[in-house]
Amino acid sequence: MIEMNNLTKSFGSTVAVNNISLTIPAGSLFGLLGPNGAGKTTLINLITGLVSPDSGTVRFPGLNGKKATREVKSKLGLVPQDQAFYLNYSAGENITFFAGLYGLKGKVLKEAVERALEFTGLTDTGKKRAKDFSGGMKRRLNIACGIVHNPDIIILDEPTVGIDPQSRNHILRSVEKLQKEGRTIIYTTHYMEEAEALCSDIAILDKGKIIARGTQEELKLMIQDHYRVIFTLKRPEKVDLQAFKKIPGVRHVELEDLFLKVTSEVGIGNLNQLTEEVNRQQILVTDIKSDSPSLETVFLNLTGRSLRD
Amino acid sequence: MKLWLIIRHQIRLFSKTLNILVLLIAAPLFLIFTFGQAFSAIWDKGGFDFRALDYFGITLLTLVVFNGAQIASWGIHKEKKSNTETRLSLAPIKKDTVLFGTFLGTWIILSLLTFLLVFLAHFILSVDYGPSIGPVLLLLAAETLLAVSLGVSLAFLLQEKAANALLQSLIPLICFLGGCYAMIPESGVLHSVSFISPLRWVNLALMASARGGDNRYLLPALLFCAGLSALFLALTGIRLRRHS
Repeated sequence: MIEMNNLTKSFGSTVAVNNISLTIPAGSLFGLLGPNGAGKTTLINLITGLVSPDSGTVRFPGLNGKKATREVKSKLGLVPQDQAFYLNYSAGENITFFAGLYGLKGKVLKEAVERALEFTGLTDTGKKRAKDFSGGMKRRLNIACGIVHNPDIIILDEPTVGIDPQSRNHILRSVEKLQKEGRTIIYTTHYMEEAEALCSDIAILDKGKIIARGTQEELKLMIQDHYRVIFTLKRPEKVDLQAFKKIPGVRHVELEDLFLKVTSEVGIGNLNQLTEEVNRQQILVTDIKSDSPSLETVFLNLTGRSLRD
Repeated sequence: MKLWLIIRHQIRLFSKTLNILVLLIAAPLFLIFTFGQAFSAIWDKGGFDFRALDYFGITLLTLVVFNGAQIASWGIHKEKKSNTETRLSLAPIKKDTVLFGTFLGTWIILSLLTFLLVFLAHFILSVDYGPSIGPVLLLLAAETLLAVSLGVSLAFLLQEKAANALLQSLIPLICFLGGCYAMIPESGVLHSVSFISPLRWVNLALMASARGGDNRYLLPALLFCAGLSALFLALTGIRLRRHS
């Protein structure tokens, strides 16, 4: 279990984390969702003790400790956003070194290294230098280095940024497996589909503050008064988004590749006006559908911005 | 146990950068040879009782060894850049263990490289290091100790740019006062000021040892280097403890 009380951290005039109080239950797979710059990494650094808060506290009641004591450190595993290992070392050498820092030695060390390599699917490439790894393999090695000491709490900071779908799936499956083993996992991401697929409990962070917290269902209930219409365009073309925004009830419009997504208030009955606007702009459409609320729309509704803005 | 882990890791990290190690051996040998040849005519006219090659075989060697401060600093900043420092900070290991482990590992590898350089300079270039090699190696090990502690301390305490700027100002000054670039006059202000440079003492001790086994400067030079080194590491250790 992790308890955060009134955590605040500023860098110069920027308040990265603003008075956050949060309790993460033991054994949960907790999602921290927010756009880039929302304060996710700073919050993680505060939890792990890498940076000190300006005010507030972090406690680990189940681990009999306050912040960053030796006992707490040995039970924490961090997978940082950036790769944190030695490029000139092989995967095995990297994992062995970091495991050694946690006091593992002899047979226990060897077994832990083999387990970490196997868990991340790197057994066959364990002797290869890390600098010769693909982006996805580097991400997996980053995870192996963070979990080799068998921590109770694992924090993964955007572990799937910029990797191939195969490695991404492997990582997502591994995270689920870790949680099933009974560990507490904090998973930060700005990919809402990952949070939807993995996390039972989610906090949405924006501009250093938690703007919503709950299970997926609870969060989606928050926006039952909104619906989204998605027009699939025949080909990429210029769309006057401002014109759509002027239609009564429209809260947000975005164009993503061939998809024109319009979020509106329920009960306003503006579908006719939306289709008229599509016709007026002579946009060729192949499909129209409305979708159920997602975490993306929750975020959109709460902030007026897309997660990837 | 964890100290030994950090020492081994530091040695292994250096040993993986083979291109740098080759450069660290080849460049000084080339410099000693070039300077020895270029100044041999002047030396002959000056009526010195030792060759230009023997002079630069000592002063250029101590100059190169003192630049080990840059290498030590570079190694630590590389750690910071590669984010591995984050993992070291998170692990249940004391910061001063990391400091001393890094220091000792770098010192061991740079000392071994220095000893290799002495042997290669002696056997390939025929540089004369005197009748007894023991004091020579001891002095160079002490100088390496000083250089590494300076580099490691600055790298732990300062940002890369500040540490580099300071080292790039300090090293040439200390080397100049040590007589690494040119001979220091036998009298005058420069002669007096030169004794604040630890390299002056190391070079004097090496020259005296090389010419007839005179060891009168040996102890002051060793104490100067070891004392400064202990001071740097103690200050850094205290600062790190306060910070954590």
